[in-house]
Amino acid sequence: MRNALGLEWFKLRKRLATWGIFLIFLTLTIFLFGSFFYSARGHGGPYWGLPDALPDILTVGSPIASIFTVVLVALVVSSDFEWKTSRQNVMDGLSKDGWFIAKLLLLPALCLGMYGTQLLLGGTLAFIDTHSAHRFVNFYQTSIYLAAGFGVLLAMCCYSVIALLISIWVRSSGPAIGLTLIYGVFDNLVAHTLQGFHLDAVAAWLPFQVHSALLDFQQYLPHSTSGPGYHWNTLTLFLAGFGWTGAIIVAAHRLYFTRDL
Amino acid sequence: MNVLEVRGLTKRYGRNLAVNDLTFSLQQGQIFGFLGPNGSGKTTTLGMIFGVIHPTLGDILLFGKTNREALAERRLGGTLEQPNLYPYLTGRENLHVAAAIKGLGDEYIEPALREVDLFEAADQEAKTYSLGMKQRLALAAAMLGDPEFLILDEPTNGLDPEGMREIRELILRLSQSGRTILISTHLLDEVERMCTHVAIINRGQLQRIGAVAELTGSNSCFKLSADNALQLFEAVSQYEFARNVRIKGGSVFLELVGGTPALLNRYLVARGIFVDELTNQRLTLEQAFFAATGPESINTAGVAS
Repeated sequence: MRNALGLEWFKLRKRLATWGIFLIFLTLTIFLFGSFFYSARGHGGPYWGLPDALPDILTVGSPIASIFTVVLVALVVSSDFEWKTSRQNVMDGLSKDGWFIAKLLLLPALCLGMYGTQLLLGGTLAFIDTHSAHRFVNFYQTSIYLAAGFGVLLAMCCYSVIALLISIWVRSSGPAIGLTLIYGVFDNLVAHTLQGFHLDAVAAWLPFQVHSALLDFQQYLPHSTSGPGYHWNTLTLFLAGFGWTGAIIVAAHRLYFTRDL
Repeated sequence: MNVLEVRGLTKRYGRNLAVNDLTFSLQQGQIFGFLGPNGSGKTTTLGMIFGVIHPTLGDILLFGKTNREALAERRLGGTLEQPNLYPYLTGRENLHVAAAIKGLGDEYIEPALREVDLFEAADQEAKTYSLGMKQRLALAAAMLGDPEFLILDEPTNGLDPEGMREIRELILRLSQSGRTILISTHLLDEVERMCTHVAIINRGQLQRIGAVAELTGSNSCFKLSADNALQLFEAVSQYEFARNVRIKGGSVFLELVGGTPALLNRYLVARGIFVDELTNQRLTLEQAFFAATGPESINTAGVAS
């Protein structure tokens, strides 16, 4: 498995498109956190030092990280079908399970890499801006930050497996990226339609709604009145995230194994 | 032991029967030509052998084991359709990926590159390669780890005559070391030069199978000539063992099925026809191919196994 993941990393880092996507993500994240930093440095904004900047660092840039991660996932997975290299890999002796698991292992690695970059950038700028109303975080606040960080990673993984499923389904990089991005719009439309029929409780649990809720820092605060409002508590939301991720992995696995390469 | 044993292999895509009850086997050391027109089911069959296409029915045994086991043991290697390469990786990096999957170190890469004459271009991206270079790189990747059985789908596709000669020599060299090679190609001339055995498939069904010499009909096709070619043609046409009788350039050509040349001559003499020439005619593989894949071939050709 380590060999398979190592090969995936080799192929990923050798590809110019990977670095192009990463560079755009980096630029957008720098602009985002840069705007917080700029405002804080004598331009009328609140101070943006640690630890007060942590909620922003943990969640504000996450939709960007999430979108660029799924674009990378869709590109990597669908290209393997487009070039028929997934077929060649199997002919060379990699089992179909091996191929699928290698791709599956790549997803959390990519999520960690992109989210880690976001945390590093935000953390560095916040560290430079030393002004903060608080100097320390207590155990309770730490648990909220950890939950938010974990929740964002879970959300990114959930959206990534949607990209995996779509890529295995359409097998072409352009449509795979397009459909993955459109999926969010589609999910929102379905949610609005369900809400129109007073099925708000159902709408809130759709995959992209769970993803969006996991990216919202308010969700991790006690007695939150914002956010979807239908998630009973953070643990239930995590379970929903895990549930969707698992179910979509099973669907992607089934689709991959039943279709010819 | 058979290197490959295919029994009752069938693949159906909806209503379309791509491969229909295919049964054949390959012995060790054979260079086996797999022939058929476009859409005849060749690539589908090879895909099923490789385990990348699910058969609807039938069994495939490689070295007496399932294809999944044989692939895991790296006893089988090959290419399917066009060269399947990572275009943004160099030739060397593409081989690195193939070698790593096969559990081999990078020390196998350089000899493989030299073998297919790509060492000089090893550090160029595969997308800059010509089709011929891609074919050679795919062949090098297939040969990594010295698999006992090579399946090559159109290995000379896109190559110039010199490149084709090189691949032909390479395949012959590989077969001399006892490897079994299955080649699917449209180039009948190539098959005739390289292969020991041939199978002809059409519309998913096996039409002919056997040694190349058997299929080219060295024992059954004859040319006759006499003073009166028309009279000869009419007499031969009525001979019960004559098939595919045709007249061309004052000579009569036929295929003898069941009879012998001596009996045919006696039959003609009894009718007052004295032949000037009665010679054995060897079919080219191309003629054998078109005889097997012609419009009426489905009904007339027997399925060999």
